[in-house]
Amino acid sequence: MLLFEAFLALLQIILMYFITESPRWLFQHNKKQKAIVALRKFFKETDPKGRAEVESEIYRIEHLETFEGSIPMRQALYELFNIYDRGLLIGILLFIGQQLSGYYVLLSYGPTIMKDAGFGGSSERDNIINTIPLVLVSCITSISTIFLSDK
Amino acid sequence: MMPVSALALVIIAIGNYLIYYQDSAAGPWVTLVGLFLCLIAFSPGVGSQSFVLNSEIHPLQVRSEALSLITAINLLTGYLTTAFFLTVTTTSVGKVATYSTLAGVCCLVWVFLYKVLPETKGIPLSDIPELFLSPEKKVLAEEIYLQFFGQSSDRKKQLS
Repeated sequence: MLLFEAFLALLQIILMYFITESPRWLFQHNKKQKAIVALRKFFKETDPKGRAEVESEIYRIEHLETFEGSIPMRQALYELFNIYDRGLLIGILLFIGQQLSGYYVLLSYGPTIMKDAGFGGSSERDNIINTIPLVLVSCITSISTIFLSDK
Repeated sequence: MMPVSALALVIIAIGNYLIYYQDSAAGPWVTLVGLFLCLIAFSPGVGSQSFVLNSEIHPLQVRSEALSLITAINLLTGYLTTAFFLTVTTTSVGKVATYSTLAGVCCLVWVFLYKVLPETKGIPLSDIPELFLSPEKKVLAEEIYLQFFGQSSDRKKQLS
């Protein structure tokens, strides 16, 4: 089982080389040609709509956005803590709420919790099999979130 | 979905209470319903929306710093909760108390978020951070913007 995960990690390392660099970052560092090539990978070239999208995206980055996002880190941190502190607080609270909603804990200790609740099997293996319904439920709701999230 | 999470945790607490203090046959099933409800409430609610909101509410120039900081805090909280969960749930009192506390904290966070979060639907991405600024901070932000980019942030809006 662990070997399988090691294989997945290896696959990830190999696939990393195929990830394009951020077009915005390339524009900021004056590598326009590379940025356009990277940008093209995000849209379907054969589709006229896709080509138009690339054009408008290039225009947007070039004329509207390159001057942003390139401020020194100290300045950014100063702004973050002094001006945009409310957004930061909300962001932190959102993630603390995420952790304390108990999801990760329930999933990680699923076998133990199920056993304590009286659904334990005779062996360790049975306990793990008992948690499959839990994982299935969360899998199904995650997929249905795609259709719900923009409501 | 946050209140549903809280409700689910309360149900788990009640289930555990039934098992350990009342020796009731319904206990395991109540716990199971709570578990399922908690998992169902997570994904459409705080599980996905915290990522969506966090990518929206910070202005572009501080977004990377803000997100790194928040991710670090997220993982730290995750470590703390998972590390202490097994220790505090070894006793039967601990089990009931832990789920109740989690439910209480969930409620508090939900009430707070409900008060401070404005609706972001239909507002351009670059305008969302301004919703959180008080008037004097807006002036300050505008000054810094002018100083750094040599142009007013209103000009950017006219262009787009």
